[in-house]
Amino acid sequence: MDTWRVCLAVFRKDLIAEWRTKEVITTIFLFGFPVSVAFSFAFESPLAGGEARTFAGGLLWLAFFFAAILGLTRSFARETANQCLQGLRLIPADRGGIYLGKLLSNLLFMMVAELVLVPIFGVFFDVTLWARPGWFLLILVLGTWGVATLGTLLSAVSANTRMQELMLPLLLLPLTVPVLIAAIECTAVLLNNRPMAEARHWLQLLTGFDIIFTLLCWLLFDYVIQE
Amino acid sequence: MTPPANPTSPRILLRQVSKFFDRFTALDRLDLAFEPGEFVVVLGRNGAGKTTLLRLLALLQQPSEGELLYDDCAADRLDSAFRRRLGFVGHESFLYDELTVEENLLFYARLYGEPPKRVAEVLQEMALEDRARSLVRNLSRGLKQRLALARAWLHRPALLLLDEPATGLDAPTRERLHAWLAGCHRQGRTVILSSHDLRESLQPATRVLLLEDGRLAFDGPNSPELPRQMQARLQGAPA
Repeated sequence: MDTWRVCLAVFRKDLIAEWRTKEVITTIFLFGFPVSVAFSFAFESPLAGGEARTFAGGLLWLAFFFAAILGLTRSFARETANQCLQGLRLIPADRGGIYLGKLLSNLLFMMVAELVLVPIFGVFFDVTLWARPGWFLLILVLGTWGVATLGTLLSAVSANTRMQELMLPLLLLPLTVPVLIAAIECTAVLLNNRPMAEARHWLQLLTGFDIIFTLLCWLLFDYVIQE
Repeated sequence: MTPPANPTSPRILLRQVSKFFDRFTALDRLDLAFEPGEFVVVLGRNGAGKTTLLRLLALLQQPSEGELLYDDCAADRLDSAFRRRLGFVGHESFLYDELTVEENLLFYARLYGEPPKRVAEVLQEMALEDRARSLVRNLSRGLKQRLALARAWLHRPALLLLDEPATGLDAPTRERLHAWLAGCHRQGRTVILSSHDLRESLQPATRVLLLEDGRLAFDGPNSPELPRQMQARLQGAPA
């Protein structure tokens, strides 16, 4: 009960702060948009032979991933200003709720920015990402959740280091490789109009990864924000 | 708003407590006991260990050596509910610049399980009602400090730990703060604060501690002669 109360309080606070500053969503979008455009020009060149559909899924997730890193870096920067994280450490409740609240807000901000980027990406790569919207949304949620779950914890870890901007991608990239591979494979099946049954194992991997790492990060968070 | 009487202040015991930061010794084998309901002022020059002591007591740091006990229970074994009994104001405000005064207090009230109406009470108590809709980033240093005190007071803690709480406050607000702290003390709360301002901070204190280079240099009851003695000690002259 305490955990959810804390989670919702942190989520609500982040929504208000983001509504005022728009720094996380803007950061993700402002990075994701030019990267999508650059990828489209690079891979729609005659050298690519117009086979953008083959690797569009990979490029889409790479753009999302690097944009998300920038947004995630800002996520805990908010908590280190005025040492707010210290204030959160004083609360008489499960501190794991703080992690869940930050995870929810990061997931929401990343999803909003991605949903704006997807149509732009579709236009530039001439691919229809919404042909099977239910499946696409499922892949998007599972992939983003995977990046957000570890990204939120590692953002808290790196917030206390001197090289915050460098530390987060260094820690996050190797750990989220399974998520990226699975999300890319699922998206490729979708974009090439193959039956989604072919992506079943990748979807299972994504779901398992998300559940296991959400629980693990929730349990580890109290330790991570210790002195 | 009158705080409830008989708050359960814990008995605090430090046994040979040391705190190291790399090679720097912030606290050196401190032996101290704080009884429920004491009003203690911790004095010391910059770097004497006042902030470290208060952060240890607030459970924000752990001793490098020695034992810190609350009601005979080791600090690292206390459950999260115990933190409800602590209220801490540090050098930083723990406030979100992009939120308003009211939103900051509502946020902390939710974290502490306090009803939203408690925010209105605290705003009134700290004379911040007219700034409720102001963004924290637009507040003066003094108003931020008052808001930090309001945040620490939301859940009516039994033990108030205040690290130089009068910083940035003007003279009338400082007087009001000390009167308010004296009121808290009368209701049985333990107040432990650090200060540079001898004359004002010592007024309501029942006990005075002086730290020098992380060691306890003085521990005794407050008395009318004490400000003069302490002034001499703080300036390095013999008492």
